[in-house]
Amino acid sequence: MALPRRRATPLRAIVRFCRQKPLGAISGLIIVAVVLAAGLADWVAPSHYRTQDIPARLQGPSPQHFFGTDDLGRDIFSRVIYGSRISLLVGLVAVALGVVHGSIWGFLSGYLGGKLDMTVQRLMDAILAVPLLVMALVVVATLGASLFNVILALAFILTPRANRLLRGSVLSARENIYVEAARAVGCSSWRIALRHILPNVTAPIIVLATISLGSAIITEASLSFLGMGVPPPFPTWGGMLSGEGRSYMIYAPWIAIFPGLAITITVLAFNLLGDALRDVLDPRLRS
Amino acid sequence: MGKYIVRRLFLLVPVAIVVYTLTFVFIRVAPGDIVDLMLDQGGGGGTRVAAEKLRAQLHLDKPIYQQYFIYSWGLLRGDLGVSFRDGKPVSSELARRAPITLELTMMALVLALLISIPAGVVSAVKQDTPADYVSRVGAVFFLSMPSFWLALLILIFPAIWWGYSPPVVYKSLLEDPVTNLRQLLPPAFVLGSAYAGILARFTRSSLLEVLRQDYIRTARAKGLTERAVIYVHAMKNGLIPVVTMAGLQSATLLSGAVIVESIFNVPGLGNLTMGSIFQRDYAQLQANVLFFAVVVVMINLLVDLSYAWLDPRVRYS
Repeated sequence: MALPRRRATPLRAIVRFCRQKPLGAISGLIIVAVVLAAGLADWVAPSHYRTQDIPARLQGPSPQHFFGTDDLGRDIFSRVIYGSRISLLVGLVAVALGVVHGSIWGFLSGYLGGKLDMTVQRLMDAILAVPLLVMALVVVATLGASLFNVILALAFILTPRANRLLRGSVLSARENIYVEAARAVGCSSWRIALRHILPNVTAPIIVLATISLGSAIITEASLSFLGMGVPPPFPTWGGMLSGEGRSYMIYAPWIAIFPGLAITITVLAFNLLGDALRDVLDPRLRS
Repeated sequence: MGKYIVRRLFLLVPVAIVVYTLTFVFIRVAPGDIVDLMLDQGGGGGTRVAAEKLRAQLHLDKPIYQQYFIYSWGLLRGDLGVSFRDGKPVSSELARRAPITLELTMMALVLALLISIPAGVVSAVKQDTPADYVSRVGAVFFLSMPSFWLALLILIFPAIWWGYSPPVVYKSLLEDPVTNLRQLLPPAFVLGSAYAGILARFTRSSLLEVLRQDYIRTARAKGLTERAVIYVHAMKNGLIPVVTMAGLQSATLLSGAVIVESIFNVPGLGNLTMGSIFQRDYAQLQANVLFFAVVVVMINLLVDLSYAWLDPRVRYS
């Protein structure tokens, strides 16, 4: 007699993921910590991001100021915590917009084919041919530097990647025997697309979204560093590494170290989580 | 093969048209133009008449569609226009700056390959050993590090520890090779680091797949040394996806050049692009973006053609 199968609850799935991919699990915990810090910044940060203490300017890391102070005496630890809000907000919203937009067009392009596919793909070729940061700079220069426009610029440049990935997955999925079977039993074209093909092409999109988050955070930081990101006074990790503070970095290297470290650790966590998810979700990589 | 190359070169035309149309519309829609900027910089001293005259000279007084046709007509005759900033042909500035960016990106590419391929090979051959873990963590760490941060650290710490900073005034390779290398090696390392991270990961996964193939087992069974198995049999097939990735990621190098050149004050195309964005020099910006796109598409074509050399089963028609 067959043993009854244990129901796969979300909690069980998480426990299994932690056992299989400890590095992915640690990365997930880091991301949760960054999200919590961003959400609870008003309570977690020792001071407000605009609070200046001129007598304490350019002080090194100490128990009073964990990451030291900048040229205006502002607590770098607090500014790094507040800065995580912009990085995460821009990253999450831009990736969601870019991936959803790119996926819709990729799905239609791959499923319907024909002239629509040709037109969409030539447009994607053109966007992909321009280096990512150059395209983002052109879009932000057009729309003006603001939180909303940075999100739009990043969503725009992330669209072709999701588009290509989903188009490829749909092209391969629609050749499967289960699609032929669905057609044979009389399913309509849209039912096949939404009920049979779509669920089979979502896993690569989840992985792409996770890895794109890292890329979006780096691009947002690069735009802020170049003075084309979210304008002051709200701190951004990239913005903290540019401007007036840059001339003091040689005397106070902690101004440069901690915001950059925050970007690197967050992006590293997203990349490692993306790798772990890919290993778990892609049946060919399961050993 | 010849027919294939011609067909691919023809495909470049629609891509170039879409790129320059998109860029044209984007930058023309941006509020304000270079004339506004010049009047602002001159303390508002310029007269309204002078401003209108300058706009007419640069065709900025015409509707966007007319400006588009004027620009397209020039482009068809091989004329990229004149810089709005100094009135010089943008093609001459492009020709002066492109070799600098080309040298920088080539150096970055060589450094990236020198680091990534041995790291990827060691990682694959010594799978699940400490050497593999170090190589994998190192690759993903460099991949996650923003290039501008690494650039700042490379400028700050040698200055603090040894009082060293790279030369400021640019010298070409022919003029002064030592100064040129001292200037370009640090930005090339920064530019190549993320690229090396991507390539090392690909080399590892690709080689691991090849090492599980039957023909590798056969090579080992007939008594070849491990060195011969890896370098003669596994590497050639294992490197095909790496070449693809190296080509596809070439846009990453050009993207990085924009930011890295600005930080290290390298007078290349990246620096020029940043300057044209801030100064609203439409003609120069448009030419630069078009140039970047053509270079990326040409690299992708070269990558596709290199398959035939790497894999004799691939034939183009």
